[in-house]
Amino acid sequence: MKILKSIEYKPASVQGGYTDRILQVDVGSQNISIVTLPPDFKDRYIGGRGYALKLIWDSTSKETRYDSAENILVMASGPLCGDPRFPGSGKFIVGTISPLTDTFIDSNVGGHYAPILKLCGFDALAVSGISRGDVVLIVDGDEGTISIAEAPAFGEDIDHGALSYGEALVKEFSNGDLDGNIAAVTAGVGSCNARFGIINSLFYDKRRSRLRAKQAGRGGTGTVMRHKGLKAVIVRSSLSRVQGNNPVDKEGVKQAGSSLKKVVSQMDPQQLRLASWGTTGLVEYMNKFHILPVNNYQYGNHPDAPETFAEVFLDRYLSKNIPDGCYQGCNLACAKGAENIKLTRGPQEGRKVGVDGPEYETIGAVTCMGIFDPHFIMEYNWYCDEYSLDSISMGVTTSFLMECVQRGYLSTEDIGYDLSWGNISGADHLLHETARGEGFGRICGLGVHRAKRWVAEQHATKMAVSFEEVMTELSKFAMEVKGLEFSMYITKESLAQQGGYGFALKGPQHDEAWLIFIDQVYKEIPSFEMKAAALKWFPLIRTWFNAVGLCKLPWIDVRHPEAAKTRNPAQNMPTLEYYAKYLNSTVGGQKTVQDILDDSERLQLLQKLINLRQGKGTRSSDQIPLRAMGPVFFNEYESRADYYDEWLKEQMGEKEYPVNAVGRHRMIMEIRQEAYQRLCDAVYKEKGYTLEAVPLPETLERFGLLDHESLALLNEFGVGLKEKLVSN
Amino acid sequence: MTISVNFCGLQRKLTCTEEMKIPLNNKTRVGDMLHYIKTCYPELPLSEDVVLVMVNNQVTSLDQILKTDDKISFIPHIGGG
Repeated sequence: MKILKSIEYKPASVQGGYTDRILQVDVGSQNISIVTLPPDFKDRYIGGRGYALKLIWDSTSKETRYDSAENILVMASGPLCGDPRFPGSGKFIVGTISPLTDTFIDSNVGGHYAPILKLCGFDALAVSGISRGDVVLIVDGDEGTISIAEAPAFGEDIDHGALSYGEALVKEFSNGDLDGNIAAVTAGVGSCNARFGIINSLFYDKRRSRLRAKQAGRGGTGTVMRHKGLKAVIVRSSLSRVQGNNPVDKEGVKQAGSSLKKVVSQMDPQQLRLASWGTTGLVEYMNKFHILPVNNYQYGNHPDAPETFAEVFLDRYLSKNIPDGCYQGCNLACAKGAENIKLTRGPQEGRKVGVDGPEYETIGAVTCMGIFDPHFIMEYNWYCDEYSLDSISMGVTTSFLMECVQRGYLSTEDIGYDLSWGNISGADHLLHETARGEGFGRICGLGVHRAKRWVAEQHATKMAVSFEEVMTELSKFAMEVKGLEFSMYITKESLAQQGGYGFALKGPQHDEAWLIFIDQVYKEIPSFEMKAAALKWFPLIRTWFNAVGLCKLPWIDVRHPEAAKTRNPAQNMPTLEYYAKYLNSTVGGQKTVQDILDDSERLQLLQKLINLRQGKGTRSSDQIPLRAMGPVFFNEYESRADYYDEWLKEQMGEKEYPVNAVGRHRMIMEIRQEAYQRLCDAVYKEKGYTLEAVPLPETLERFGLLDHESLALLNEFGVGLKEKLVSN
Repeated sequence: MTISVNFCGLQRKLTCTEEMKIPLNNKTRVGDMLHYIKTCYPELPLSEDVVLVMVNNQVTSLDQILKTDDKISFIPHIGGG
């Protein structure tokens, strides 16, 4: 590799989970610097998402967009990341200003990259600037060097693919060997041409003898990476990861990890079987409760859905009897994979590949297009990873365009080929066009929010109708909030999850709040106040996982046997106590779960401030499409008319019940819209915001965030020190 | 009267069946049915800390009396990824 710039350094040691160092690289000026963090930085910002938030809050402005040179791409672990004695400890956060939302996006991803980066001496990597040519960054803790190299070329097919390029690059770096002490992040050609590019986190799996990939999938992090001219980052360290965090209480870490591993091994085989099936097992339950997206979230189940159930993937594709996992020591090991899958479509037709997945979300993205072909799901999964496209945003944008065809806003002539529901050929064609930035793929690559405007402009001009009226109609089924596409759950019958998506600071991704089952199925939070409390509590605890570098699944998807005896079983508090013990044993201190929630609230408020600054922080930005609230079109109502009529009767009580179906449909949607606004009021009150979703000064003050800058920002939204609580 | 028991996911794997139709008398409670299923399939994980018992996709009390055409299912705790 042609080295453009290199420095020597001595890796800082990890103490109590932290190195207290950040590696800052400006790929434009090729300046490499190591920043020592002030002592209180970790106390206030924890790690991971918190570090990304603080760096972006300080270094960007309201004018900063994804392609601005000052935009920073942050990859940050956390204090609990890296120790294999605790399950799910390979996670890190990628944070940046998003090409989809124009505000802060964070996307969590597993693998070995962050633990190795930490052993190289860094809690985070922050990349700014824009390079003239494609470069690769190499952080070599073993050699004590940090280098920027010209991105080597291996031939077009390899160079365009994140997985293929990553493998070729790592082999070149390590003289032909794949090695567990090396990890990389890469982004492929799709990230150059679409706004929803992803970053692949590559690590060597010796059981499968190949590099495996996990993805920072949401919000276009790969698009930012490639726009900066950064094609890959390689990290290497041969230091031991066991006790690599140098915890203050080694025995405490061991006990906390053993306790959680015991619960996982005892309960997971009886519950969701994530260790055997990965997340594919969710498809059946989502289909059963009308939550699986079909035809752009119009319907929640389908008679062909059993073709996408867990057994199908397990029997036909997934490798059995291999203890998977995206990081060593995790006995939940949900990162399933398949080998020698023959591609039957696209430019790599005929090639046999290893597929990492599919996960539930990718399956849901395909059923959202009305497609129930498991082999297409495998191919779609691989191509999205190879191209570096978010399989969720790709599927939702394709589905939106398919519905535009269904409702007459687009024609086959506009697109160049048939894009009707269930058309595998059309969906496949659009995927490759989007990755290459060709044909109609250029529109798809914009994502739903921007594609909606394009469709509206075309249709309004062609039909000589009002642009605004077309936008109003399209917005009913354009499944995005704040510019980010919904993840793969239908929220029509769960008001709490409507809020879970609407209030999510990054946009409608379920990792901030997933309340569908406790709301719609288990009915544990019937009142507005209970939903609002859940919509505060769950995002806080979930944010903490993103700050400390841990996976949430061992907590949220493996119910502790003692949880049923607690006041709120869904919070799974007995398991959370293990996490608190792991934290205190690693970094020192005596934090309770409430302390953890308070730490998280500071980060959520900081993210809220960034959203306000970027124009995505007020009540209007929390509004969701009507499709997310209920059966927005009559065909959706008709498909479950008995259910909806019964629901309406319960709501009406003694009031007059509309005699005709059109009237009932209209009334259902009116009630749903009113309920969502009431939920907004309740949640803003719970969080200490004004009714316009702006934090009150005293709320910021409670978390040490009220200063001249934040107060000036609040003032822009008419909130000053005199504002009172919403309830007053 | 007849009710049905639906098996999902792991339960379908273990029972090798998707649905059982069961004739009942008029005063059978959900708890009685749960006990019967546990007897038929002792390997099925059906304890309170593992699944919720649902009738017609609604969480139900074990004391509820079943009526004809009711559909029973056992749903694991799902918290979302």
